[in-house]
Amino acid sequence: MKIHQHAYRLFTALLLLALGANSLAAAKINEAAPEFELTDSNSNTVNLSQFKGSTVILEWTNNECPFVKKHYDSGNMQKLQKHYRQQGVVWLSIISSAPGKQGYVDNKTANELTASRDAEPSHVLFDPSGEVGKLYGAKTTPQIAIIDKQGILRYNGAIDSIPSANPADIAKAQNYVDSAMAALDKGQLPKPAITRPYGCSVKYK
Amino acid sequence: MPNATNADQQITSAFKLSTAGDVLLWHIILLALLFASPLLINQAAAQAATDNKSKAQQPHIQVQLIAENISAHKSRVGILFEPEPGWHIYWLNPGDTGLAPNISWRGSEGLKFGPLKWPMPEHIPVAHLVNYGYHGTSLLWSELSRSAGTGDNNSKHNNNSPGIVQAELSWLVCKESCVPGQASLSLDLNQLDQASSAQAGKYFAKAQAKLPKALATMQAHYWTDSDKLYIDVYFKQALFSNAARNAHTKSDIELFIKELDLVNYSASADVHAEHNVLRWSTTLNDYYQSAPDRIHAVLVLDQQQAFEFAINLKTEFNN
Repeated sequence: MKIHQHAYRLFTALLLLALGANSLAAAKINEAAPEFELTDSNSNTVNLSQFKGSTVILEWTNNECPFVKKHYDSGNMQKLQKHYRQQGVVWLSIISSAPGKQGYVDNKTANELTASRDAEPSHVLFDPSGEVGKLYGAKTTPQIAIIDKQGILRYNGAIDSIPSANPADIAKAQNYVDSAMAALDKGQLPKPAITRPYGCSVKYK
Repeated sequence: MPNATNADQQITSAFKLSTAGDVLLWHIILLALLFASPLLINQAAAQAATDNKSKAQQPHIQVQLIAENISAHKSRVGILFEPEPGWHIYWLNPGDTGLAPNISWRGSEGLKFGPLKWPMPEHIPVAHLVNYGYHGTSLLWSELSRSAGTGDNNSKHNNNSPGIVQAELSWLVCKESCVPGQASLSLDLNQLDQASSAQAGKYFAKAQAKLPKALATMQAHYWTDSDKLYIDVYFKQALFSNAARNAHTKSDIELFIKELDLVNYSASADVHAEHNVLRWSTTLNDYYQSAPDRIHAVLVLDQQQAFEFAINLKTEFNN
């Protein structure tokens, strides 16, 4: 009986280890998006796998970053969130700021920010250890990753083509969320599929 | 502002029209843009002329337009960036994150600005990411030639002689957090007194010493495989000692690639430096897509001397 228990424990430990190692394989374009589990601003546990069958957009964010402000103060980010959520897309705003660093917020502040900015993410997720951010190679805020309905990572990089903090550039830029989503709609691969993201460094610990 | 928005809309519609193949309308729109653009430029110039100042104090940084008159026809103009202690700005390739400062020069007729000169950068680590940039005072500058206009003689206060320099600049200054800034600065070179020219000269001399020197190579190639980039350079002169120097630390032999998205900035490089040979390899950038025919590198030795050279993509034909 006791041996049995030990064997079982050992088995689960090994299984967890294997799963853990697997989930730490960095995200690669046109490969399966690595699974993650994070807590949202309403204290719910959210897994990437629960959205299988839907397109998922990941948005790395930090409300105090001037480049994030560029896209929220202009209403650009909210417009994208509303537009794609109406089409059934899941939009996950991820905060990988470590506790005490810029952009790290609690549940209440996160929900207040969503309300005051009239934002419409499906969930605001906290990644204080930075593990999920690093898993997806998130370097800046904002940064966008798009996962198709089959769970394949199809886009990773900048929100648009003009790296600046100036809101006047938004209209002149090519929006990479729109171009990637349009391509996916037609059953094509986004072009570009990888771009250099611009913005503030993600405030990892 | 409304003009700019209109122009943007025109550009967007022009693209739509071109796909429809309507060439005539394309031309009309381009003509309209041609007429509109001098108006925009004049407006901007008038705006800059009204706030005629060479210095601006902004959050965490002071920026100043400085100039040194070298001869009647040659000057140097630069932007002196003075961030607060601990804050930094970026090199032309800012590394993993950040943004290079942008300077656009404008001047009265007869002024010709050379390319912007960038002193050697430093590695700036941020968590597991790496940026390239400058702490402390840094100067980005251009050579300026002043062509002899009509009626130009020895008169020092000739109103027609070219002399007004304007700079539109934007930057990102960071410590842990980042603050973008922008300024319009201007300076009349004809009003520049000797003392301030000499003072500026000291900054230019310092910046010149930190400027990478062009280095001749006998052969300089690079190539990539699925995850790494390899560089193989034979210089015309011996840069290193005869004893092989295999550095794995970033401090004594640093290589900065000017092109974006090519190398992984935070990965350690394998360096083999011996006599006139430099072999260097590192992992490719996450956003690497394709290898340009030619790349440009800045080599910094012992954080003191900087050299620059071009490196060609190795092909089947030139190996």
